Amino acid sequence: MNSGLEPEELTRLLRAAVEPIRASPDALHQIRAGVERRRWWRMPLMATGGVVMAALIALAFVAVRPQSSSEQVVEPAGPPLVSSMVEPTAGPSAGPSVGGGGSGGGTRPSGGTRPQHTTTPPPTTSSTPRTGTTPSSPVASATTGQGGSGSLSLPSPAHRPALANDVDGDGTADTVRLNGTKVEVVFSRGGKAGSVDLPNLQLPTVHAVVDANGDGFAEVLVRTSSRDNIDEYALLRYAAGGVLSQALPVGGANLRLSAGVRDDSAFGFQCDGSGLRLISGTSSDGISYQTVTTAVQITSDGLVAGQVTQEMVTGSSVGTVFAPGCGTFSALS
Amino acid sequence: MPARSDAARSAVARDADAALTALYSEHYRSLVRLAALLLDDIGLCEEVVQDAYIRVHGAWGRLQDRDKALAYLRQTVVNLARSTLRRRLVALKHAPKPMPDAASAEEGAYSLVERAAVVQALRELPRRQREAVVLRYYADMSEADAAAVMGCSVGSVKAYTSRGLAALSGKLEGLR
Repeated sequence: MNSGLEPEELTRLLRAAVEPIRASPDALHQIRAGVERRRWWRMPLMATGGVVMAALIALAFVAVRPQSSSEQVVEPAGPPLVSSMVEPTAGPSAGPSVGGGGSGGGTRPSGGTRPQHTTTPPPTTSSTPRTGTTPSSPVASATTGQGGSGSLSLPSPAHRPALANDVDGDGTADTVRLNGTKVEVVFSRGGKAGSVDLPNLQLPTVHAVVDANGDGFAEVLVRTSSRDNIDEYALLRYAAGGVLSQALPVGGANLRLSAGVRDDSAFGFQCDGSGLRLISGTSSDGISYQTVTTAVQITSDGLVAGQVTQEMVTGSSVGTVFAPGCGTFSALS
Repeated sequence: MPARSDAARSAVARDADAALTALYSEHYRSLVRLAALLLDDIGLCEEVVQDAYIRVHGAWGRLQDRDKALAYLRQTVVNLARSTLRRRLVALKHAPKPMPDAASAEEGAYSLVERAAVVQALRELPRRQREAVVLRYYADMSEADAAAVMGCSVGSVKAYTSRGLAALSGKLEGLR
């Protein structure tokens, strides 16, 4: 293989070369000292590592622990004082307008001369008159449950108000469809679908997609039930995190999203890009209605009641006022 | 069971201490000589081998096959020699100016080794060829064992050894 240097000769040369090397007399002592040093270093290092690991585990636990609803403190907003128009001689009909039961009142205000401004709190629990025969389940679907999606922020919308059928605010129309009792929206933003289950949904149903408050994210209004000439609706909207959620009244306020006329009670709602207006009316003769209109803001936390106004509605405008005046409704399948 | 764990730990420590002493008395000198052939600075060879002993002692509880303690020790020596060579290369690159020759405290045995022609020729070989030649012809390891220590294939060891032997032949021939 190598004519010049044979392996055996190389082995001999190498061994002869290092033969003079001797071990230092204190080598074993130095090795033992090194072992001791290493042992003493390892103990505090391991202890520190254990403490750090425990702290990391505790931090991770705190970070990922789901917050139970009982720990969330919800402070009900104090009812701000709002200005409303009240007829000075309204008499018994003034009661249901702001807080009374209103189911049987409904007398027309008799000849008020000058309206005057009074300061009244916005309705919290009974701003809209309710009759004893109103089905409870559809009302519950619109007034109970959780509100919005919390404090996560929404992405910036592409247009204000939103373009047609643009629920997620990206400038592209989204698809709304029905899956059993679930209303699903296929978002063009991310291509994922969000859904809200409406257990009391009566089929067939109708829906409208409209940017009710002009924030760039269209809301979906879905008729959930229709009984005794009163239709109940649910308002669904795009929430932070790319999900669909039902907008419900904040703080348990009784904000009823209904439309229709039955006997001496009537309901309706309208939107004009600045928010919703819920209208309820009572009548004693079936011709003229004393109405209470509640402005409702659609916020990230849900529906928040605002200013309350009263007025009289008569004649042909009754059919217009007590109707779902928000977007164009079409069949949902 | 902290008591049993402490007892087991103490037994491992006693075992490691005994093994350390046995390995020292049997192999320390040959390992220092091995390191002397792998390193450029013979003065560091004892330091490298002592560090290898300390590391093997620390890993004694994790050592799967105690009979392979010597192989583990050799591999640690080779790895530490490589690291030392790298560090020395970096230090030489960043040295501000060459240091004047100082009188060595290890005149004697070390200078004899330094002056050996084969050692000088060995130091001119590339690192891998040097390792292959030393492991095969000084440590008398098989090609497979040398490959395991060097972390390469048997074929690579054959190639390194052949090239290293040829290069050494030429260098030593020129010195004669």
